[in-house]
Amino acid sequence: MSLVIHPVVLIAAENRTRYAQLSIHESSRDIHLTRKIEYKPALLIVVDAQNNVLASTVGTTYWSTKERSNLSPSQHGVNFTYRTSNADAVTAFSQTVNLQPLTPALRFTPYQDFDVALRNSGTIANAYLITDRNEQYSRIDIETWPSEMWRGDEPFDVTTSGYKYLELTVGTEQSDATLRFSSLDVDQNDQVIKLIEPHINVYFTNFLRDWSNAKAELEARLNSIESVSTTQSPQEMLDAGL
Amino acid sequence: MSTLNTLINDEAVKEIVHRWGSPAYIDTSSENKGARNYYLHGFVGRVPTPAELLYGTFAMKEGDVVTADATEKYGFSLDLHFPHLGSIELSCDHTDNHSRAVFGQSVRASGLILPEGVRLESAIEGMQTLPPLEGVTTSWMMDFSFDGQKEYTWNAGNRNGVIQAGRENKLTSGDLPTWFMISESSSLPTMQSYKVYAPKSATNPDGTKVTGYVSHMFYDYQPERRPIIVGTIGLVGSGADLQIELPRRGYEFETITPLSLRIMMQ
Repeated sequence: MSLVIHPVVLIAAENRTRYAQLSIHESSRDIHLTRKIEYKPALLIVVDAQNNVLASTVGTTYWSTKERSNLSPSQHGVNFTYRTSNADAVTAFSQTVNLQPLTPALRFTPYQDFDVALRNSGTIANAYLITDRNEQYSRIDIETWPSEMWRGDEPFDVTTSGYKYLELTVGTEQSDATLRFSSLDVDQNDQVIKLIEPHINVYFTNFLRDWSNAKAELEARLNSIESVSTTQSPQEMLDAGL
Repeated sequence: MSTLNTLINDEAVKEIVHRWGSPAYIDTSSENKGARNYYLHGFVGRVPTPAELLYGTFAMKEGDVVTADATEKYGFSLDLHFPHLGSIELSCDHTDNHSRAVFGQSVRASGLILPEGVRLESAIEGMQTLPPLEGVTTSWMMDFSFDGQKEYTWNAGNRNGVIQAGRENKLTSGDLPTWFMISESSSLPTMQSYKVYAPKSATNPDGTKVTGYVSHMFYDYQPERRPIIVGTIGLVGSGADLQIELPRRGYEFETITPLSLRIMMQ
């Protein structure tokens, strides 16, 4: 079957300003149950290897496509050079750089921009984003959430808790982890750790179908057009008579 | 990359896409408050690949829509606007017309299945909830059935340009539309197009020959224009995603008589 459902259906289905949600938005007290991700209270917890909560913060989850996706350029970015005029010069060629797939990210926006409150000292091993699908808890006030999930008095293993969660990769600034910190060793006395960006975007590259061949497939199609190349520079194309 | 399954599993994903594809209300009054339209756009020419859709980038070359010798005549033959026949509206309100099919009038849809404990109540008179058809589950993303008799006229596209190219035998994909997209707007996404030229040569002495168009969709605004579903069009028995009746002779690119569109998620 050749039918393609584009991942932007996630936004079209759940975004509160789009028609699918707008057409039912005032109709029932429980209408928020028709959304799974969009505008949900969420808890971010950062744990050590023993599931002690080292840091935690609350915020909101969204589907986001407000900016070009930030996937690895080498794995997903498509670059191509093409001839824009009939001039017999290297300036006749133009290049695009890092054309990215246009796919929604799952975005977590903490209420406290950048700051994640520290609860314990230790070495960061994992992080989890826990969503509150039923919207019982607050997007702003962490104290409305069950204290065992965020306060750090005891270890908390979200994987056996029954909550819906997403595991996030963690790493230092130089890594390509989803959550990056200046240091993985944290001291509770510092009170907060800082996120690099005011929100976290997580991408799913195999949503609704296997997209793993998409970069190669687009490159092949581009290369099949005369005077377009995904591998050659303007000078190389000029020399090759393209 | 993260695994989505612990956050939204397959069942939840099916529910999300079902919610988009299954309207909740129809407005049988003349008040036009049903508030949802789906636009079915038709095209001739080469069917885009999934990769082009994912990147929002159409890499078009000679032969994709018109024959190579006709490219110069049909200057925009390589841009997506040329093969675009236009759209027909599938609407939750208004009344049927020659370019619009209204749920509950000339087209039937299976309505929204809500999670347990959620009810719909509309304060607007004339609004009716659209029930799901019997046997439908949230695995059914979309289920639209047309009466199979009515021809809809393509609206606001390049239908006339395609008809002209067809009369001159310059179309490479035959006598019927080949693919469709469904979005929430009658307009195509805004695109930035890069025209690709061939170098000067004996066969191209002034260097005006265009070999391709790369058209990149802007996704960051006008989100209702984004293609949500893309599939093939064909006659009954062809295995196409959208099956249609054979158009009246001479109306191949003017109108479409759709039969049904049912998308089920595995």
